[in-house]
Amino acid sequence: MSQPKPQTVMPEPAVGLDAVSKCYRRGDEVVHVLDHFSFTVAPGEFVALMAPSGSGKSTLLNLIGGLDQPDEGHIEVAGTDLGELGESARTRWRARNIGFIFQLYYLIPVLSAQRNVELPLLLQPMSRAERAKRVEAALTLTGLPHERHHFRPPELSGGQQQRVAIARAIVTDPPLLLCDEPTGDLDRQAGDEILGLLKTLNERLHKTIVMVTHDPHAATYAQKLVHLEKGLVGELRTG
Amino acid sequence: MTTIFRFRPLISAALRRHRVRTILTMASVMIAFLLFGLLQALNHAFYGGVKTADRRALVTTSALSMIEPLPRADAAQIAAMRDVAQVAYEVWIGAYYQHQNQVLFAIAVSPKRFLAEHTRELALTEAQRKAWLGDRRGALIGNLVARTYHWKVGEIVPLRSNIWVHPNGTNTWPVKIEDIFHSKSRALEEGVFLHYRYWNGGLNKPNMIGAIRIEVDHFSELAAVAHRIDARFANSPYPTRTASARTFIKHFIDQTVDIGVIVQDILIAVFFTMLLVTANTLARSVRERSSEIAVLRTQGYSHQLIFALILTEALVVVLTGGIAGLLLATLLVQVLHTLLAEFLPTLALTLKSDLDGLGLMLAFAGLSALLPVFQVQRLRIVDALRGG
Ligand SMILES: Nc1ncnc2c1ncn2[C@@H]1O[C@H](COP(=O)(O)OP(=O)(O)OP(=O)(O)O)[C@@H](O)[C@H]1O
Ligand SMILES: [Mg+2]
Repeated sequence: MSQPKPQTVMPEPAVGLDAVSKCYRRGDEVVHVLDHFSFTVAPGEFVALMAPSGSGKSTLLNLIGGLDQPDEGHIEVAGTDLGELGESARTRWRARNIGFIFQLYYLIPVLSAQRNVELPLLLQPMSRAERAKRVEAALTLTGLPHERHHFRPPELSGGQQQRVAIARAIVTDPPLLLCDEPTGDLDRQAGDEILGLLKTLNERLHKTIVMVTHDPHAATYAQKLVHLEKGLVGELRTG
Repeated sequence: MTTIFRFRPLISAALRRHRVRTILTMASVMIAFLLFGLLQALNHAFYGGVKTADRRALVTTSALSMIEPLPRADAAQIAAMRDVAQVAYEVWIGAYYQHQNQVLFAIAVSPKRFLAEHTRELALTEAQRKAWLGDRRGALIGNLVARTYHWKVGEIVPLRSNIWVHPNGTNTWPVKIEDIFHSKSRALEEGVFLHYRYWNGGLNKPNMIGAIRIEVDHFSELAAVAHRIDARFANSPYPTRTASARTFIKHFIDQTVDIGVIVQDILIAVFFTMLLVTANTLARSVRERSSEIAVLRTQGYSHQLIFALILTEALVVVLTGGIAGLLLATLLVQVLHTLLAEFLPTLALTLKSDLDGLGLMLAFAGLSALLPVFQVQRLRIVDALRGG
């Protein structure tokens, strides 16, 4: 289902949010998390979104990944207007276009690293041999030592688990990776390795990456840093 | 769903997540189906005779109650009706032997008709038939009854009746055992068959009978004939109720032995409990996995696919437990059959029971997956990920 990319002079943004608002209701209280928030990411960019806890970082990633819908505004990702997709179309779109990476890895503990990475591929018409090949390639790319490919998550360190989770996110070769505090649960050294890996994926495989974090050190790995506070956007540094 | 098979790592992961819990759930399903198999076998032992009853037979009794009498003349009227091949009548004696609790399934019949009707089931020689026909006090005794009371051929046995008074003023009716027979039909082997003429003398209203057995020309006319008979007597002093012999026999057994009903009630309770246990276990396991399910959704797994996976999980648990239960029941029934051959000669687990069990398993799995499916429907990916 790969379509030729439209040839335009101005490359369309990988992610474009236009005046997006999102609020949650907690009893009678309405919490405005995003208020007419606009934001774009160019294809191939590695953007770090930095904001304090509770300011709406995860909410933003969920909106971009089509897991949640805005109350107002438009979201366009990888050339698709998410507002035009129904539930099942969005699910299929997500399988092709988005790789999620979470702070807590969310691996299935009783399945081996290989089996975990294979899960997104099960949705595609693909032979078992082809799946195995891609799983190996993804795991190798993330730097998980080969002899650990058949280990189960509880037998791996946090950094190794996050490598498996990254392999799972890239195994279907999506153009956009969404990372929610990918190093939040790791020590400095393991965190640095993971951030280096993300940077490599961005530079070598041209993955567009949006990473949210509240760790200023993590943010330095990105080309671009965006500060988010109650719908306020400040571009502090462009690399 | 040809592709569900490729997701088996996920299904096996779900089952292995809490091995002990999965095994316990399978075990409780197994017990439910073990009970199911045993009940089916018991049912077959008790009601097996129902199936061998003539498909073309009707039984007419009083519409008021099964023990209310009907005039014997009704039998002649029915015999003259269209589509009726044969008519026999009988009367329930309400007999016992020595003590009230030694109840006998004794009926008085028109002997020639009775013999004609049961040529195949009764293994009697011509001489034995003649002997019984010639002796109005003669009785044909089913082998199981004779064994219970140690009766021998030629013996004169005093039967007692709750209903009929002997012309001599007592309730004791001496009968002579003309023959003790073996039969494939359990109902016959448990029966005591007597001459109507003998008992007619004891009726306070003579020429009354208990039931009329009718054989129709064609099975397809069963309902029409039954309807015509009841219509004929609807406005008489003795309204009738006519049913197929199968219904009648089952009804008759039900009045004497409620064991089937009791066991069935127990079974329903057990099944209901097991259903709750299975559904609850599955629901709990789905709830614990909600973040895993949410992550699958982020990878592009649809609601429908996740439903299918949960349903498959339920099927694996229920089919494994259920089939093990039925196999165990088959084994146990075989052992019981050899031990209890005398009492329950037709104890067996039939193919139909197995198929019923299989159908029940599918329903069971479907029902237990219902709640989890509802949970998944309501699961918001975002909240599930937030919950950790
Ligand atoms: N489903 C919800 N119902 C109610 N309030 C919510 C819901 N989801 C998020 N919120 C609120 O919206 C705000 C933003 O939440 P969000 O998770 O996006 O923040 P965050 O920046 O990712 O925080 P953290 O750094 O702690 O992960 C918070 O105040 C949170 O309490
Ligand atoms: Mg967050």
